[in-house]
Amino acid sequence: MKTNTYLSELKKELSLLPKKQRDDILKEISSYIDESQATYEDVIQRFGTASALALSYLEDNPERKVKKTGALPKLQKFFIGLSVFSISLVILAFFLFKYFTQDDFDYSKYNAENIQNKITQNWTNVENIKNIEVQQANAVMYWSKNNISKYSCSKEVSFVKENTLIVKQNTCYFILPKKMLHITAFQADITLIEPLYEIAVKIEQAELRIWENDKEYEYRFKKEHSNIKSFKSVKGNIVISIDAFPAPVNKYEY
Amino acid sequence: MEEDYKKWLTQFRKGYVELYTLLSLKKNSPLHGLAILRFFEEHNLSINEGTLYPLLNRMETNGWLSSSWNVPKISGHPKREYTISKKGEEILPLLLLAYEEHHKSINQIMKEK
Repeated sequence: MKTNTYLSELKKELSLLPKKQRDDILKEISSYIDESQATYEDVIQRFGTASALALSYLEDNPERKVKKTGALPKLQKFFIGLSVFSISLVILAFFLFKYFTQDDFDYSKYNAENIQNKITQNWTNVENIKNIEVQQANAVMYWSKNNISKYSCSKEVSFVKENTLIVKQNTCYFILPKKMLHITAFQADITLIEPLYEIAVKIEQAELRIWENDKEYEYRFKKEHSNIKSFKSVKGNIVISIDAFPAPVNKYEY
Repeated sequence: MEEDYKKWLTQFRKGYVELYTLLSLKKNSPLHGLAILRFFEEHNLSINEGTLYPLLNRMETNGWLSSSWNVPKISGHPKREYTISKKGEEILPLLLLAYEEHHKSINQIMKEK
């Protein structure tokens, strides 16, 4: 064993002391060893083991208590820091998620009449539509008592093909007529605001939200790998058929 | 028996080594640790390094001593040199008085029949 080993052990044992005090002690012992040309065995005989010597230094040292209560081992500090950082990151991610996924406004505060005042961009009339196909888009649907359908999209990426209105990669608002409609959605976010007529919705890898506004509906679910919140289904009311795979279906909340 | 005696001697010395250290520094300042040990040896006081160095550290923390590093300009090792502080100067007579009183008490008890 070398005297350097002894000094290393002593340094470790004195870690509770303030750095300046610890450095002075180590320098002093090192100076003693050099001057007296002491071997490791001599050092053990004269000073005792490193841990015993450290104990003598730490005894009655007022700094010891300060360090003990005021400082934590480095590893413990690291993990506490890491935990605080991780929790902060999770909280930040939650708020960022909320910020980026929250609706632009409360859709449930509007209906087929006044949504056109809120959404002022061009509205397009379409007739004889039986199906609406939504792909990678956000769609909010209202119902009117007229026979004409209207929609307003943020981009000009929509078209009609054989009684089917197709919207892709868009944010669209619909005013739907008083007749049964089929809605197909893929990787989309669909919100139905107080449906007035029967609808059949088929969704895949999409989210469906329904604002009932105290109305009662007859729900017919066909679900596979989908999380569907408890909806109260009342026979004889407007039928909402939902075929979900895999897709969550929830009540609308802003 | 021998173990008990050694333990007692260690405790006994601890109490008086501080007094001896102050006395040695009062007579010869500054002194480094090894020089203080030699001073003790010259005066028939046996103490090992493991007792003295932590004690010097504690006495400095208490303010009885002050230390500084003497770094030789040409060759040799840096040495931590101790001097008696103002507080040490003030407490030394009190320690001596206590020592003398204890010594007197022991003598008095010994003389009693």
